[in-house]
Amino acid sequence: MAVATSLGPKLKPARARAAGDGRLVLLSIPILFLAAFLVVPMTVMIAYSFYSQDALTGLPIADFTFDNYRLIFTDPLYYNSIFNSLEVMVTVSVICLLVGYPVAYFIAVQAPPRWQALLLLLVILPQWTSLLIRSFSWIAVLRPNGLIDWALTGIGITSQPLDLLYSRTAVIIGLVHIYMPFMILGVHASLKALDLSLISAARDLGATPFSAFRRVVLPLTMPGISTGLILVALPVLGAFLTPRILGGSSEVLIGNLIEIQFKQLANWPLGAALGALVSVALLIGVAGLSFVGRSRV
Amino acid sequence: MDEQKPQTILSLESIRKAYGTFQILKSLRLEAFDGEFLSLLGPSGCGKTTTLRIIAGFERPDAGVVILGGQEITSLPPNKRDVSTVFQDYSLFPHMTVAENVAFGLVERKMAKTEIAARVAEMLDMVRLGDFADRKPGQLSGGQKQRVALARSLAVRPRILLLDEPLGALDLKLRKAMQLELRSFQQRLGITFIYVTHDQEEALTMSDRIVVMKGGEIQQIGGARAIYDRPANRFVADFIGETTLLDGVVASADAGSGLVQVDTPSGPIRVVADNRPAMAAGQRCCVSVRPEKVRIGEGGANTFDARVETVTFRGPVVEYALQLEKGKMLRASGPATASGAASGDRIKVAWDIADAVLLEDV
Repeated sequence: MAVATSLGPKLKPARARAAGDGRLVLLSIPILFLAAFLVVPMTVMIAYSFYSQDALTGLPIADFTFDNYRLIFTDPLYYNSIFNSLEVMVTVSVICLLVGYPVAYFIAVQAPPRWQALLLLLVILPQWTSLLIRSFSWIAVLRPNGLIDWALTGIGITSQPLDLLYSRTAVIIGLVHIYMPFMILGVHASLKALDLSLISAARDLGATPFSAFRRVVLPLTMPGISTGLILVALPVLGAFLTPRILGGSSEVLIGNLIEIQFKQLANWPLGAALGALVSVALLIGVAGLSFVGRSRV
Repeated sequence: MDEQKPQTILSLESIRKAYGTFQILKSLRLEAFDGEFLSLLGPSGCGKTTTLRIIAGFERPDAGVVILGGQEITSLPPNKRDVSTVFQDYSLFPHMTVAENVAFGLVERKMAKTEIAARVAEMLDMVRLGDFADRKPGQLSGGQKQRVALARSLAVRPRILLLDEPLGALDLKLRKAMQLELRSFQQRLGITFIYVTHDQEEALTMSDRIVVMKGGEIQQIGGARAIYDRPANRFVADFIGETTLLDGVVASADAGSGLVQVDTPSGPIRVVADNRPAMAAGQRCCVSVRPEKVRIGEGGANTFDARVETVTFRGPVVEYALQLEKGKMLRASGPATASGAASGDRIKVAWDIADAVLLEDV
């Protein structure tokens, strides 16, 4: 015992150093990952956004100009598409929340426990199909005389084909379908962590079911809601495939413009400026949402 | 002891409840009086918690009615009932401060803000947590959480407070202190408490009346002393306190005096069968003898030879395990100063006719 205690203090610093080194190694992995796949590309993109384009060759010139940003904020093509994208993002996020929350609630709270894994699997299952295929499938459903028209005229609600395809509605339907699982999973996780006896306690103290939800369940699941909103809003703002397939030329979102700048017009500086704006907007949004998620508990 | 007739505040009539094929409550009939401390006591699975949940409105009985203050409430949801519950694990709202927790039910009742503040302060004062109003439940100890839960439930001034093993998670010393505190709150406020516990000592300490339950049926209802001294059956005698149950057969029964002689393997026991269904000779029965009623030495109506097996010092009392001849182990206890019997000694033990209880063998 005496030997052990006298050795203790001497051993301790060495051990602490060893543990510190271990932590450093462990910490360096995510740091390197973030540096390689987030910080470096972002820096390059932001640098490019201040370049200009050679009028003859179309190649980027490494000078420093605000022209790209000026164009985005003065040309309606660009700023309208940014507003459209934000509108679509908000609409899709809100629909995902309003539909996804009750689904998550049902799975986490009301469904019999042995069904819960299966129900969650069913939620995730569509993700196993390619995004492209899911987006194209909606064409068959939404096109004139497609599945929806066929059904609605069949039961006599409409006589004219609805012009759904290549509209904002079509884009929103497609994006809601694709990103709904993320909302459900985010909310489900926080509902599973909720102590259900708190609902009983609220009811016992005189709360109606709605009041118990509003005063207890909702505030305690804010972290899940903000996670879900981040998981939906982020990719929706950058989405270009689904808007292109279902929106056609009538609904050009920011993602499509970025894609066009890089792939068709080869205007990398302008594309980079658009990309930088989206990234900054997303960072602000994520910071805000995670603040809401944290401050409530 | 009180001369005026107690007023019934709650009655349960022929309550039945089954979970699947398991009948948890079998035609339960129970009354609670205004202002009493009533304990539901029994082993786990006896239906005591289910009874409480039916009163609170979390469970709907399969059959039977619940009447609170003359009004049938069997199918009312929990928020429409004038009762509130202190849950086993407190169930405090983690996102609210102590004061907000206590105010929860008052906000639901749409009380004025100033009135709420006054009631919350009054309640927190009562449970001596006035300085903790702005803390979150996560920053409280178990005993403090318990008192917040109590204040939260009492703030709405329920007609009945239901307590579901509220002290189960506390350590022994705190539990003892909370027992006395609960009892004093109950007496000060005059609210009916219905207290579920599996701890017989807790029930004996606090209750005006105890309802002993087993297998979804009430075994006995009565005051602590009545249940301890005059258990209704073998289960109650064994469950409440310590006892030795000596099995035997009725040899003779005198209808006039109530004196019954029971033949046991260790010899005949004479016992008084007070107002129980008369027992006939030849009927199987058992005699319950409390350890503290057994005297070491001769000089009782029932005297037996025994060998001391173990002597256990318990502080104020000494406990003996005594091997009766051709029979069971008899438990005895007495003041530590009284006897010098040591392990291995052959001694005589005795108890009086009135000191044992005759029970049917069921």
